Amino acid sequence: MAQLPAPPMNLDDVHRLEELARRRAQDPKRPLPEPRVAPVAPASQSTASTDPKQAALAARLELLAQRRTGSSTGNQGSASSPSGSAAANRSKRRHPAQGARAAALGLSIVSTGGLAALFAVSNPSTGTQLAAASIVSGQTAASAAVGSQTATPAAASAAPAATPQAAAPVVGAAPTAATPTAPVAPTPDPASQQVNIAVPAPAPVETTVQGAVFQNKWGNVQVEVTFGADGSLIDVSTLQTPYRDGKSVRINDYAVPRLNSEALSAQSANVDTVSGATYTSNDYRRSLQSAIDTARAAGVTAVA
Amino acid sequence: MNDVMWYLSRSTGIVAGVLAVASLMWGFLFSARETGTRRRPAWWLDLHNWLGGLALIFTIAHLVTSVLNRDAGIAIASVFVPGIASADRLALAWGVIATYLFATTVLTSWPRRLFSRRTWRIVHLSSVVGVALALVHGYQMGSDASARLFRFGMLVAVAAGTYTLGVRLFGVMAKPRKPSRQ
Repeated sequence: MAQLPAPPMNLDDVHRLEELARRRAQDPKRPLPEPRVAPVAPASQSTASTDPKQAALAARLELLAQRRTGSSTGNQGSASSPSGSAAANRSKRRHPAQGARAAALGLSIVSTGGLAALFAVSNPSTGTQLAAASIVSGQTAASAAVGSQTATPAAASAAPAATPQAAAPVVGAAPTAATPTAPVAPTPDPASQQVNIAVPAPAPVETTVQGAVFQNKWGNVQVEVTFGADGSLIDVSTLQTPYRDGKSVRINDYAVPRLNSEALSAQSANVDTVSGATYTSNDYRRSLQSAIDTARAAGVTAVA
Repeated sequence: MNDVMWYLSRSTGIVAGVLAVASLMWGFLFSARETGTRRRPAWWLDLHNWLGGLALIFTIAHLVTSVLNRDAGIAIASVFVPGIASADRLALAWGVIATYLFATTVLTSWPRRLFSRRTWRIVHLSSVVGVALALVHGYQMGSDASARLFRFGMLVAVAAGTYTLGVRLFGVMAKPRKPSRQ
């Protein structure tokens, strides 16, 4: 069958077909409009046309037709780059805020990591600066009250500041009936810290030591440690924990038993921080360490 | 391990809240046509959708890390059912409800054409309540509520959200009515 020559086309028809091909490349699912011109035979078959202008037009239309159908058979060499840019344009059209999206995602991840690191660093158990601040925050030499038995709270508060370890010199290891050392209640000043010793019976089997009182923004924390005859920790309990609000009570209801059991199993003050009870955990550790140090100084225990 | 989960739980919660507020702001500004001329409206809409999706993803991360943190005492059931937690019942309930509202809003935005515009709008507006509940949840949980920076950030978030809400509402009120047909 003889091939019909390509119909004559003007430049407007070519531009229109180019526009259609561009739209088609951007949205392949878009339905094709009804053609206004008759189908064009491929250039290779339209050899009947001898006009070079018509031949160039036919070749161009063939290329456009290939783009419309999405076939890459005719797109060799330099034709692959327009296909890539079309895909990029399609993606950009679908997500105009692609850069902002990436920035938001990156910023969110970095913020999460940064905040988590900040929380970890600001944990007082790992921050020496915060630990030093809590020690300096108003401790008095409780030793005066315990050692002389006649010290008044005023005298205690007038004493120079010292660390809890240094401020706890008296232990229940000198059990003389003549000089009983009554347990001294925590001073009303919440900022003060003192170590009180409960003197056991004349022939002590167990020694009870009250740790220093530490204050944090939720309240005071103080532990009481009972050492066995062999110097081991046989009981740890809290004398004071934050109680001002129901939340603190709930937190300490589950945190303190954990801390107590950890201290007994560790036989030291090396207890892990209970999540959600960071302040109580830290002050618990400090109070327990002060009690252990006091007992060690008196030779009651060898626990470190 | 629990400590790491504890830190991650707090940080993902804060970031999810910030993303939710940002998505809310983008949505208000977009719907109020107050997006300026520098960016096309499609850009604002695209980023609004993305921020909402990210907020949901980080909320889910917040839930997972909260449950994985054994010391927090948050059971799996209590992150799905509001009001059954043993501690901080009310605060956790707000968080659970906010999560459901976020999830509903985001998931109904994908097949948006399946719903009528009115239905979609009502569901979408529930995210405003969700953001408010999320902020209350963060404050009532109290883990960081005592930190000045947290309070300041929450104040900024509330102010920004309220401002954009005001822009949207004033835009609605100032919209000229169509002339009635004679």
